[in-house]
Amino acid sequence: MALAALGCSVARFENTSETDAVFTGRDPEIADFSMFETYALPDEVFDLSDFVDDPIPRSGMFDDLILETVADNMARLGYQRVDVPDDPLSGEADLILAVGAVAQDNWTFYCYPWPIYPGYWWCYPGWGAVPVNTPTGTLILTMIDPTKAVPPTDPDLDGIDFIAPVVWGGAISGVLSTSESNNAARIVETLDQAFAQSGYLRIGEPVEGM
Amino acid sequence: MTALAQHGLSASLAAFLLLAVPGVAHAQQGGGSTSDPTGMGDTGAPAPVTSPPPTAYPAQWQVRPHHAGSIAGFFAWSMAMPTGDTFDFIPRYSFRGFTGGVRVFVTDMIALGAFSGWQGLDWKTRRTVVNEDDTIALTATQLRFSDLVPLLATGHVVFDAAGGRVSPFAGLGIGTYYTRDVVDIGFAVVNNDRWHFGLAPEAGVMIGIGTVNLLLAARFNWAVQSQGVTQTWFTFDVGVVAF
Repeated sequence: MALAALGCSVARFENTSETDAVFTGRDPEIADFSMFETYALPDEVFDLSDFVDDPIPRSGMFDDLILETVADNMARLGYQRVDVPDDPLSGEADLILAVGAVAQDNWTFYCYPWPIYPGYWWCYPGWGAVPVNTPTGTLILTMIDPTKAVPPTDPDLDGIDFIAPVVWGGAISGVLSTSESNNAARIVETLDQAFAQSGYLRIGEPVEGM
Repeated sequence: MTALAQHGLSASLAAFLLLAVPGVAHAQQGGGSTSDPTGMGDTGAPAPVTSPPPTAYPAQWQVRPHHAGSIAGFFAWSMAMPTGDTFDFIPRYSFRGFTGGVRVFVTDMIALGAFSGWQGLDWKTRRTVVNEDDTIALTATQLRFSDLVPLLATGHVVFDAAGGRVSPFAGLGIGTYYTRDVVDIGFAVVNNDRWHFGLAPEAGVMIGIGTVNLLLAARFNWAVQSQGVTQTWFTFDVGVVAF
């Protein structure tokens, strides 16, 4: 305790929100998004469980909050929301923004009593390795330019009508909390951060969201 | 009165003087002996009856713990204050460290030796990192760690003060440093480890307190550039020295 008072406590993650990470990226060829004005947001959070190992069921209880938060951010950036077009090449939407989500188990072996550097895989002889599961949820934001959609040429994509270039994407990852209210607050905060750190997306004054 | 009896009387007188003169009494704790100041031990032959009084010897020789040929081992609790690139990575004072080593006195004032140790730095920060062309950004809480390990040969000049009870010293370490920087963002851990050539100017003091010598030292560690990173930090040691 005396050592802790002197500042000897080693840095570590102290709550689940500190594990939240927000990653965003844009097409390097598009530095100016002012060429876009409208976007469509499918009214669904797509389940991406097929793309990961050890998926765990998603309740979907925050899907409405997720879509609402995304729409609010796009409105703040100046985009006008439109309906999802039946034909992506119709030009009815300059952009289509899809939201996907997945939750999965993450098993890690922690070594005790040497928890100085979390993530180390090795243990000293005789010191136990404790398996710890940190179930993690991930949101994937994918913004495509439908006007550049083309039929796929890859035979592995048989059954898919169009493929379109991704102009912006985001991934939000964090350890799932057992507190629903905590999860809701983290969803809003991290989604807001994804758009905040992508300042190039701003095309004008905020518009009324749909 | 035989020569042996005279020697016993002389030894008793010397013992009395040792108790009466604090400065000389401390010399006995350091292994000195007023009846055998050369440290050669009893040869079995009768000692000369003309044994000089203790005060005939230089007081510093009697009191100070170091002299030519003596070997000192030390161990210290190390605290660190990062500077330069090291500060940019972890701007936080560290209380996690230790230093240990040995010094061999080649003269009464000059000591050569070696030391090593470990200093652990750590810091938690949440920040957004953006690449140069602003196409990628990552916001995450980062746990940053640095391990700093000196492996240095040393040379010191050791002085005497306060009748030899206090020994200020100054010196220079030269050798290599092993350093490792770790960034943990929860779902990924990045390690960078390096070997540096390094120098470590140092100043400090040894203070005789009873049978223990307290060590206080300040050292500037300069691990010159390796893989684009120069590690620099001040170390403050509090420890003990044994001769």
